[in-house]
Amino acid sequence: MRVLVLPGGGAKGFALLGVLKALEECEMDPDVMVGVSIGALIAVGYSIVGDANRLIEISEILSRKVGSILPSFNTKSRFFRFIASIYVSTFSQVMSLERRMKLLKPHLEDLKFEDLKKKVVMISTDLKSGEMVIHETGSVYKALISTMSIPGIFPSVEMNDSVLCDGGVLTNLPIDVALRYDPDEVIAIRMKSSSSFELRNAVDMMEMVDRTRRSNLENLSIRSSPVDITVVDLQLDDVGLLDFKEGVKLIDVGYSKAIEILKAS
Amino acid sequence: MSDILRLSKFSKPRRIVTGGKGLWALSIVGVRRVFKDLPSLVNGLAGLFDVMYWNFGFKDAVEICGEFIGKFKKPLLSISGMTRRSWFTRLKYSFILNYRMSTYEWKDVMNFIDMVKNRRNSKTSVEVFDLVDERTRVFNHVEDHVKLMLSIALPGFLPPFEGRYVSSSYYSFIPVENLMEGDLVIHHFPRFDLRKLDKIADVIAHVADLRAVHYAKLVLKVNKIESLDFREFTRKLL
Repeated sequence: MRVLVLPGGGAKGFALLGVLKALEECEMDPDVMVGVSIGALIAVGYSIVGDANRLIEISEILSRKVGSILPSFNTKSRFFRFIASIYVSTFSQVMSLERRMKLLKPHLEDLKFEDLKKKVVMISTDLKSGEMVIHETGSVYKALISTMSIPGIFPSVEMNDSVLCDGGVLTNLPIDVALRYDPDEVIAIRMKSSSSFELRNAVDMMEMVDRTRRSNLENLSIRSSPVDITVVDLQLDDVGLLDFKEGVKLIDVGYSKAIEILKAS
Repeated sequence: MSDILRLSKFSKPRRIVTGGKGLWALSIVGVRRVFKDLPSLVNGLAGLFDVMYWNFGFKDAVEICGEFIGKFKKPLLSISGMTRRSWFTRLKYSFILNYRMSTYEWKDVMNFIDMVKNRRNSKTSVEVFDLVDERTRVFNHVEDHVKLMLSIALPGFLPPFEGRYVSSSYYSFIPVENLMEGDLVIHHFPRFDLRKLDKIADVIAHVADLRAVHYAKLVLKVNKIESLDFREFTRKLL
């Protein structure tokens, strides 16, 4: 059994489409896809469409529409930080759920995990318990809005006794979840950032610590796995979290890097 | 005491390891009541207490910590996620974090630093996060005022020591990356379900704690390191 782990990363997730295309060309279709945030959305899309090139076409159309809905920010500018300071102190979310999902809701609302052609597993985080939540049965739509709820940008989702948000809060590369399916092979895609980091304020400093922790956590998961992991490392620095118009450019980056690694492995 | 040791599966721990973000690190006060002579690996305010403990004894260390907390009560409660903040407080800290490296400067804590100036104790080791090398480091063979500064350089509270070292409590809550055989890890992780998440600023701070605690738990689990919950520890103690 081959399990593919698809991480979150907002608009950078377009690179994952290129990886799916490369996997198809190498005849390495996954049996199970474990997705976080945008990685979960792409896993669902691939499971429904079943063809990477067709999914890329659909995603390109959607990205233009989503790009006009989601604002693009220069998060490092002083003006942005001024507005952000007021916003985070005053409001409970940046963007409404309805607005975010209006394009996808009609297509996914009634879909269940059991209806998907390929097995998809999603990860979200319970803000109350601080534990990871695994979604693999029931409503795909509910699971998706949970795993995609980036804290501070989108509202969290109340489900049963939990308050759910983006699975990437705890782990963006849930290899331990992939291992639950007793795989012969695990392919994990890792999104990396550049090493240079300018520290101008405490937020920059905390982001740097977060980035190091995330990277160390991913390395730890890979190192401690009893199954060999094929890791596709993608260096994606030029596209912002919500920059969906620019994200399309990353499809080729994901494709060429994945082809190189998969053919070598 | 024997109950506590049985809990930890350690008959003879050689070092205690504890710490935490903000006021959570003060579990060391309870730990030191039991493990009076053991060396320690600490971070955060646990470093402040331990340095004072070895220099002035238990009672004075408690008093000095009390004075420190009294002086910086609001930011420390905020860092610890132990208070519901007003709109103005949230806004104030959001601006500070977005435009400056810290709320306070070293001169604001100089009287505490001066108390242990040029003194040395070999029992306290302090874990920090190195912003230049992007990894954790342990300091032991340095003067006590340096250990103190390394401990209280909490991100956003005081500037990084020498521009590069901050407490590892934001990174992994307690020290987990520099453990050795015979270490007894005592953790005091927050109860997340009790927190009220009113505004985005609260959610962001909450998520930062979740990440640090999750990382600490995972490192302990993967490395099969036995650890003790401070709540269980105090229950046995009482």
